[in-house]
Amino acid sequence: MPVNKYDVLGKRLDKIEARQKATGKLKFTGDLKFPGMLHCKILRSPHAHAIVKSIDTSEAFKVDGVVDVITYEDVPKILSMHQFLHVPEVMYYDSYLLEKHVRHVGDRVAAVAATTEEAAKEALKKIKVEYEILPAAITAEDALKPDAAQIHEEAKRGDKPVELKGNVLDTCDVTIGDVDKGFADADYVIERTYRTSKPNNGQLERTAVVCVPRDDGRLDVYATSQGIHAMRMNISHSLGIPASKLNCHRMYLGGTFGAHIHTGFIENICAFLALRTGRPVRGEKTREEMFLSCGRHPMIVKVKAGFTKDGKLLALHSDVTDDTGSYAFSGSSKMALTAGFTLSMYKCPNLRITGRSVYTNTPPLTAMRGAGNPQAHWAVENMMEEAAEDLGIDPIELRRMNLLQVGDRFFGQGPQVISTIRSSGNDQLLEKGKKLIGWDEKRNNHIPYPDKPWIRRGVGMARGFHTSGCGSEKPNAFIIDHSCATLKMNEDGTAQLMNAAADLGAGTLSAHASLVAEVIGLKYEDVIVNLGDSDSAPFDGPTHASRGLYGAGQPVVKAAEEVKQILLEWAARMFQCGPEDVEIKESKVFKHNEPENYIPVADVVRKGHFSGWGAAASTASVRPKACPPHFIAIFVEVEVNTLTGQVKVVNAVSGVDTGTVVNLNNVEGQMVGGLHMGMGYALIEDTIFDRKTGEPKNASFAGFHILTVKDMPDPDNIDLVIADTFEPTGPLGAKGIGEGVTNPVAPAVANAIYNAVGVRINDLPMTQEKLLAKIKEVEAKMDDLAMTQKNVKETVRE
Amino acid sequence: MSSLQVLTPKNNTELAEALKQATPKSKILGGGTDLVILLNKDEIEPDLIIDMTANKELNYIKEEDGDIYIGAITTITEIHDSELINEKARCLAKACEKFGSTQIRNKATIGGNIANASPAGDTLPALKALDAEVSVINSKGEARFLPLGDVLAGPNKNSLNVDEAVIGVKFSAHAKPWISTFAKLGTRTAVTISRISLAVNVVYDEATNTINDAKIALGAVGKAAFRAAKLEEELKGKVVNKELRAKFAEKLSEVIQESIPGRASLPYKKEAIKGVAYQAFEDLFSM
Repeated sequence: MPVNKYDVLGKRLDKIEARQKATGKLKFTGDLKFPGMLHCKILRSPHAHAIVKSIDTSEAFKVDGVVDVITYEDVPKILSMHQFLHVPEVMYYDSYLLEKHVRHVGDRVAAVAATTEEAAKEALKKIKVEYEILPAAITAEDALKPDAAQIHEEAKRGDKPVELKGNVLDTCDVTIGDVDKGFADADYVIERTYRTSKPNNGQLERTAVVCVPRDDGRLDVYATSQGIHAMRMNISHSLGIPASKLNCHRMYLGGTFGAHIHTGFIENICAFLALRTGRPVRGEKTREEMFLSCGRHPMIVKVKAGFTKDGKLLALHSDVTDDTGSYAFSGSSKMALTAGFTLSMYKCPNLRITGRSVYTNTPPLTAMRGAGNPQAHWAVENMMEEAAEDLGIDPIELRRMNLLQVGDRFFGQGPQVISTIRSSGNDQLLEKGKKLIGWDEKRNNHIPYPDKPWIRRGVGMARGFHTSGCGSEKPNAFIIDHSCATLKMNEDGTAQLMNAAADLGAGTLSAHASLVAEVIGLKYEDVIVNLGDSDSAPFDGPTHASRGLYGAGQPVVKAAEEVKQILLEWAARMFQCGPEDVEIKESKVFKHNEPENYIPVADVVRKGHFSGWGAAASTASVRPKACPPHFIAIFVEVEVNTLTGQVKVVNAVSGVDTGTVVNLNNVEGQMVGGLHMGMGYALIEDTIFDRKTGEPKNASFAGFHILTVKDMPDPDNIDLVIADTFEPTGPLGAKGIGEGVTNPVAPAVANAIYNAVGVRINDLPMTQEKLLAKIKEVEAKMDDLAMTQKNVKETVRE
Repeated sequence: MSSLQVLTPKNNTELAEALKQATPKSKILGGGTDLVILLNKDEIEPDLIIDMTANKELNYIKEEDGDIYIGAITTITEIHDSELINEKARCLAKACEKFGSTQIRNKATIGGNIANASPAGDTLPALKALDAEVSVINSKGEARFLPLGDVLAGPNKNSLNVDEAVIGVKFSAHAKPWISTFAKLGTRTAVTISRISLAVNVVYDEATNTINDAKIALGAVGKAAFRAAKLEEELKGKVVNKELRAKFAEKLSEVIQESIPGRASLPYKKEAIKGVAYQAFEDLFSM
């Protein structure tokens, strides 16, 4: 942990809401109850692809307690987006609140509002639906076949209709430099195809919403949302009502990993039902519904890379086939991001990305920690390892010689979002990680237990990054990235922050409180963060792209600096000196070098407010001008049981370059959590759908396994390395951390497995079955080889 | 919504009374760890649930005349923690150790695990390897013992009559020279459903390093847990060494190939069983 000059930053501080959470007092969305509240349940399609021929709700209305039943005939005929993230020209619209044409098992057919959840469920059973079943395409390959049934008939990008031919909703082809020449000049060219899986976000808190009609005719919306303004824009569009009619409340969240960046339309449906019935309407997805409404995009990533014989990367072409599921929740952005992120892994003069984003009859896929980047890392970091072996260069060295450096151009969200790298801890991370994992000793030492030769060990690493937000030097044509904050001083000396960034559970709001305390010179506990709502907080983008601290933190710092200036001027009047002669520390104001002769900040605020000097308050607004990469290096040591294909990660090093550490607890929490999530992606997590019927095979935590604490390395065997860096564009030097920590984990595990048993699995997850089958293949080849050698020897002898 | 009656008999007399009302749609709740999930998913709509957990007469682990008796509502945690079971039926204690999560182990009961008859039920191979008999009561209050194998009628199916309930299980105490263990393979280290489970219960003569008797049972590789009778015979009189370990693994692989021919999981399971076999040998013979 680097030493710093700060009073508050870098320490281990409790999250501001930690005690409320630990004692069960904090109300999450699902805990909210209102008088007269109705419960909403959604009737979901049992078919992967069908047209609703007829629907009869009359019997459902007769169920005791049922107040309203709606179908596609009742909802606004407004083609809607699911998330509000990208600039208006790129925003993608392809859904109605309820559909006549259903496109996945679990799609939205009808909705019920009833006085109890039981009545609502009972009513669902009474709705009679006649379906015309259509052929379904469950994988991208199937959806791309010329005879595949068309999944969508209409969609819009911005206000322009998208011409849908087949199931491809968008393509990309971008070239930087001269790729053909790059490959022609290369001494060594490698081409590989990698596939990724479809894990579910699996966050603890399921999607929940309560919409409460207000006396003024507007609607209060309490929901699990990563951005109250984005949600407000989304609901207002899909319902065709003005944004100001909705007041979206910021709630603490029980984890999201991207599952609440969009509205899964239960929010919009509840809002619609609340307006229709005039009563509060609550909706909460079951776990099965969570599995049928979000997850990470599976990708087929073809990578072609050309190197000089010394290992310098000359050309890189990545081709991405993106399965977006039945709706394009994020437009084609995941295709663009996976392809685009491959360009940002290493320095390379000649780059090309191509890709296509494809609809399939599976649940809509969404953001999930890394937004396309785990897929990019999986491809590039596996490829680099194979290239290193072929080139005869140490894998760490090959990476080191191709690193992007301070001053280099960086594509933060694909090639449209350009910024310049201003801080890098890459060298520190590689050096420390290599030492801590015992790289040199362990790379060629595979048998830890001589009496159990079927257990083999290996070490591997992978590195990478994620962006911190989506800022670019010039406003970009891809994504909205803008933040605001209002800060005011209270008459007891506390500071109160009003902003809109969501805290997904990672401690973002606590980090904002730390920034305020550090900038002004207040005690951490003297900063209050309002949860607030869209009525009172100025506009902010949602918390995604690891921007909660880096992006949303910037106006917090700016507002705090402005408020501090006011406090210094008022204190100067009281001390009869210049503002440059006073300072604030631990909520006390004093002249330099005279800390014993202090005035409490509270007294300064009171004096100012009561004397009519003004208000100690400020609103700041910032468009971040960069999206600095937070660099990550992951090293792991694995134990592979060659009899069963079981893999155990026994040692791990997670190294991060996150700039200034704001709260050490939160940073370490992200590091360990990211390691855990990446290991699950590597080894077991995948949602399975019947290739013909599209029926989910494991839409529950009994069927979809997440690694447990017992699958993690012993805590003593996890080393956390934090590089000593300062990001000049960041709030007090900080960068992001939340997503980068997951991105390189899966390829690091893959590379360690290869080191242990000489087997490479190119499609995630690396299950016991896949590994054991490959191990047996390799063993059979070795046996053949041994047999041949024996035969040769015998022939020679003869 | 059809009506649902819940009865919570406090003793065996009340249980027999309750069973009089049972119909083919009725369900018996042991720990509820499977039943409640099915209820929540609307996969079953019972007319009657008989909750066994209040019948404290059925909560015991005891030894009498060389036999061990376990009451139906004894939890997996209680069995795991029992000194008697650890000493004289270690494979059952080990099966309970690897059973679900802490929360599941605290709720789930051995009676429920038997009657639920899951092919992957963790206590079942262990009980098979102990030659367990299941004690059943009917609505007239009559009790009878059935071999475990007769109770397990197929995946999640038992052979009991509508008016019968499992009230306990018994098996002979397997003190030294019997030694036993349980090994399982799942997709993750803990809280995992068995893909292969193996109970090994043998008479081991330390002095001669020889196996003199053997009871071997497998789970999750067939419709119900079963014994590998031929293999048991082959182990008798054998000296424990690496060759025997390899042969044991190879033979188990053959047993699986016969048990689940054509199953998609066969190519994996017939190999991975060898790792489970090695694990069992390591635990029993420290090799």
